[in-house]
This record gives sequence, structure tokens and C-alpha cells, in this order.
Amino acid sequence: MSFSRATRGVLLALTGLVLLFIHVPLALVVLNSFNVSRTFEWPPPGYTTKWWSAAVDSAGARNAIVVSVEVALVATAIALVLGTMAALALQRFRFFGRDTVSLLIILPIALPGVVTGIALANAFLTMFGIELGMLTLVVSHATFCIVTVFNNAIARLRRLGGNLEEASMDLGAGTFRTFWSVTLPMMRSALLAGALLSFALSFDEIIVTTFTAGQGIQTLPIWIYQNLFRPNQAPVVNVVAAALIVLSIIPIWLSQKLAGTDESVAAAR
Amino acid sequence: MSTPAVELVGLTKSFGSVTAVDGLDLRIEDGEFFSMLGPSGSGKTTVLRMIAGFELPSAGRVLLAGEDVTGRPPFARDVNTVFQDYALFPHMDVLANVEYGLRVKRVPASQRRDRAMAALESVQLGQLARRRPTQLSGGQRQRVALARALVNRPRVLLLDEPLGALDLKLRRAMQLELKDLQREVGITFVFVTHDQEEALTMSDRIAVFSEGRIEQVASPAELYESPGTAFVAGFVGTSNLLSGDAAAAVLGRTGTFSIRPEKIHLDSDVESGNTTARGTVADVVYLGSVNHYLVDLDAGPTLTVLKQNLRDSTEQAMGRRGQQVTVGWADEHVIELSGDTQQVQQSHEKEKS
Ligand SMILES: Nc1ncnc2c1ncn2[C@@H]1O[C@H](COP(=O)(O)OP(=O)(O)OP(=O)(O)O)[C@@H](O)[C@H]1O
Ligand SMILES: [Mg+2]
Repeated sequence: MSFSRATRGVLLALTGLVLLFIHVPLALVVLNSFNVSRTFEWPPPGYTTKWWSAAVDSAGARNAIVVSVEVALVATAIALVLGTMAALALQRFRFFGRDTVSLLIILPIALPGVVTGIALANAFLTMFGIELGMLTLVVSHATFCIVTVFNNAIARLRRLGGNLEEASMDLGAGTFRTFWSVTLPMMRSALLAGALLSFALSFDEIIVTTFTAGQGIQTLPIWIYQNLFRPNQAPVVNVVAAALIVLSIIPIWLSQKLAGTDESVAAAR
Repeated sequence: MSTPAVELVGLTKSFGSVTAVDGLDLRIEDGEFFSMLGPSGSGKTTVLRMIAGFELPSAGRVLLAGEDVTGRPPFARDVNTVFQDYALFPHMDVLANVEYGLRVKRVPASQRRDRAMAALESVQLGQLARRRPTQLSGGQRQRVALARALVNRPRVLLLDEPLGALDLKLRRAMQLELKDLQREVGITFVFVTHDQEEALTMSDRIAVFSEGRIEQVASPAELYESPGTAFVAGFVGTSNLLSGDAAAAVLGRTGTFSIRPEKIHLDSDVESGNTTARGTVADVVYLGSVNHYLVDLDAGPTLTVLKQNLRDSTEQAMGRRGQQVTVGWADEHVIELSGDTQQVQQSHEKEKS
């Protein structure tokens, strides 16, 4: 498709505008983490690093980060195992109702978080009689983490086809050996990308978390939400947000790199 | 007779309503270079996949060296496959690819390395052992696939159009190389192709497939000189098929007959004792070392006549368009066929399109 000069100019301007709209607030957060003013006066009357040291010392923030990382790690681990197995089962075996099962696995990501949250909380409390806590939180997060791993895994399996696995079995390798030596290595980058995304999803999830975490547990998003409007905590919250912005660039960059140019998959085609 | 390397008994495979392979009976002898030749969709790959164990037959049995392996998985059969797209493992280098089968069978490391290197040497790829498959040309990948299969010393090697992706020149070279290799190692080769020339060049015996059935199993010479059915005559080489009214008009006989284009002589080449007919040259097709003359016989049918470019210049040959000519052939070169002519022409057209 080719555009006229004018159209191209307009499109470029629009793209620039969107980028500004997204990134100016982010830059502001980072800048404000050094703002002397407690109320984020603009322009900043002066710059300081005292909020950063205050944030490092804040027990609440530290604790929330640890909880969030733990939940995200465990949920991602569960998702990796179950999501991969589900993708393998659905892609490699034909059975009645295969497409329906596939749809059912993907559904949680399309459902509004409130619905998932209420449904899960109800199930835990009434059906299983489990107190809300770390366990229920992790399981709840795993439900939507599985989707991202599953989607990545099944897309990769579709692209690969069964050819390499047949070659492996032809050379004498059994089912398990074939999975270990051929299927898994070929899926590795897709699984890593899925895991990174799943970690990120869990890490900043707030709606399902409020319904399923119970009283005692505070994840980072919830801690931020509760402290943002307390005047003496606001600068510390801002620092945490700034740190997260910087940190989240790493997994996004990694997963893009992994998902994009995958030499091994291109070669298998 | 000794135990055949591969024996297929009443082998049948249906995919839903499609019968891909229909009650096949076949014996492939030990050490043979055996080809399966047939048009696209005639079931060659499906047969190969059932021998390898990737596909379960709907009915019938597969025997390897006299042993029934019908229900066994691929990894419990003493056969190896060279896939059409090679299916090399992209995450392993060439040596690791070749070693894979040995590693799976727990051959000790030192022995494994030696055997893999020897296999790579035998396909002239020793220097490329550390490359990745992505860094190889099509012909080199093909050789790696061959080495990876042969290093396991299987009883039977299955090859599914292994030369299909190569250009003509490389293809010719590889045909000869494959044939030599097969003679050297003495392993039974089952070779699938839809290229009749390739099958004729390489094989000890050829099975011609049509619509999931075998039309004829014979040596290349036998297949060419005395095709059993109209389908085989049409598919293997070019053939002039005469049946019904045409046969009655030209040959004065009833039935279906085939005359090869090179067995028909033109004008001054017609020998005494030949059966002759008069006609007009409708077209001349220039093919390099030979020309095809399409001759409309006065009696009705059109014959293709092949003539080598020994004396005539190209202009002379082309200048014969529209001329009256006499064609002639020896009666012993008129081959009587059984079978349905219609089917041949259809599948021939399918192949060309
Ligand atoms: N997995 C499958 N599902 C459904 N139909 C199939 C399947 N595999 C093969 N067929 C059908 O079986 C028939 C034979 O296919 P097969 O691949 O054996 O042909 P072939 O002789 O190898 O052809 P080609 O020369 O094009 O490779 C075809 O009609 C094909 O459509
Ligand atoms: Mg095929």
C-alpha cells in the first residue's frame, strides 16, 4: 500500500501523538520520584533522592514486592506445566470436542476480571471451604496465566507440525525421549515468551486479586492502590512505580526478541 | 524364495471416505532398489508411512523380514526414513543430527562419533559436521538426512521423493550417487517418486500406483517395453495409445494398443516389412537432441513420432509442418494392453497440470 505525502504526514503526526500520550505520563512518574515537593508541584522546586531511600526502607513496599514476585513465580510455574500439557494434548491428538476444549481454556482471559474474581472466591469459600489466602491467590492467577502459555505453545506447535517428532521416533526415540530432545527444545523460546507475559500479567493484576487474596495478603498493586492517596506515602509509591517502569522494560524487550526472530522455527518450516 | 525384506498383505488405508490405499499386496526382496511410481495422490506416501509406522492401516498387515509389525510404533521397527523435507533437527548441528539415532540406542560415545563421522564422509560432508542445518544448501541437507538414516544400518531405508526439492542437475547427480550408495551398503531401498525417468534410472523393480492400487510391478525395461495396462503405458514414458475405432482403422485389430514414439519411423527411415500409414505433420516440437512430430493420420488418430536430430537442421525439421508423410513401424513394437484408456489420459493430464 502506498500513501500520498499528505496522508503519510497525518499518520506520522498521529503516531507521534499517541506515543507522547503514552510516554509523557510515564516520564512524569520517573521525574517526580526525584521531586522535592511532597505534592508533586510542577515545575519541581528541586530534586532529591530521599524518596528513593525512603522507599527502600519501607517495610510495606518491600513486603508487597516479595508477595507479588512469589505469586507471579508460582502461578507462572503452574501455568507452564499445565499450559504446555494442554497445548500438546490439543495439538497432537484428535478427539471429539477438541475445539470446544480449546475455547474453554482461552475463555478466562476474555472474561471480565470481576466475574472471574467472584466466581473463584465463591468456589473457594463455599464449594471447597478453603480460607482465602496465598493458595487461593496463586490458583486464581494461574487460571489466566495458563492462557498465555497455552496460546504461545499451541501457536508454536502448529507452526512446527509433527514432522520432526516423526523423524525422532523413526530414529528409535520413544514418546518421552522425543518430547525431551525434540519437542521441548523447539518450544523453548515460545514457552519463555509465554512465561514472561504470564509473569507480567500476574504481577500487576488487581481485580481478581482483591476478590481472592483475603485480608492478610497485600500484593504490590494493592499496596500501591491503598497508599497512593496518603499524603506522606505518595512520594514512596511514586518511586516504586518509577522502579517498575524501568524494570518492566527488560522482560518486554526479551519476549519481543524471543518471539520475533526464531531461527530454529524458521528452519523447521 | 528367501524371506522378503518387506511384505504387504491386503494393506488398506482410508481417511474418512477417501480410500488412499486399497488392498495392496506386495513383496520387496532383500537388497532390492524398489521404487513406487505413480501420479500425485495415488497413495505412495501413505504406503510408506504405514511401513514406517506413522500411520496405522485400516486393514491388512505389514511384515518386515517375515515379522508382523503392523501394530508396532515407529521406534520399534528396523526401518529408517528420509523425509521429503528432510526433517533435520534445527537445534542440533549436523553431527548431532547424524548421531541422534545412535545416542537413542545408547551406543557408547566414542563408537558413536566414529560411526557418525564415517556416515558423513560417505556422503562427502565430513567437513561440515559442525554446521547447523540452516547453514546448508538443499543438496547438503539431503545428504545429511541420508547419513542420519543410514548410520543406523536399518534393514530397510524408506525414501519419500528425497530429490524432489533439488534442481535438475543436482537431481541427476544424486540419482547416480544414491544408486551407488545402495549397491555399496546393500540395504533395501524403498523409493517413492512421481518422476518416471527417475524410477527407470535407479530401480531394480518398480511398482506403478494408480488410485491406491498397484497397476504393475516389473523391472524398468519390462515396464517400458511391455506395459501391462494402458495406464502404465501412458504413465511410463510417452506412448501412442490406439483403441476402438482408431485401432481398427490403423492396425485393423480390436483392442487397446501402444506404440512408443521412438519405434515409429518417418518417410525415408521406414523399413521394408513395416506397417505403414499416410498422414500430415500437424506440428513439430523441438526438444534439443530430438524432435517430436505430431502426425495426423489420414485414418483418424494422431501419432507422436520421435526423431533424433542426426541429419536434419532445425529449420528443415520445422519446415515439415503441413507436409504429407509416411509413417511405419514393425509389428512387434505394437503392444497389446488391457485396461481402460480413458483413465490413462485423465491421470496424464492431471500430472501435467
Ligand atoms: N492425513 C490424511 N487425511 C486425509 N486424507 C489423506 C491424508 N493423507 C493422505 N490423504 C489422501 O490420501 C490420498 C493419497 O495420498 P498420498 O499422500 O499417499 O499420495 P501420494 O501418492 O504420496 O501423492 P504425492 O505424489 O502428491 O505425494 C490422497 O487422496 C490424499 O488426499
Ligand atoms: Mg507423497
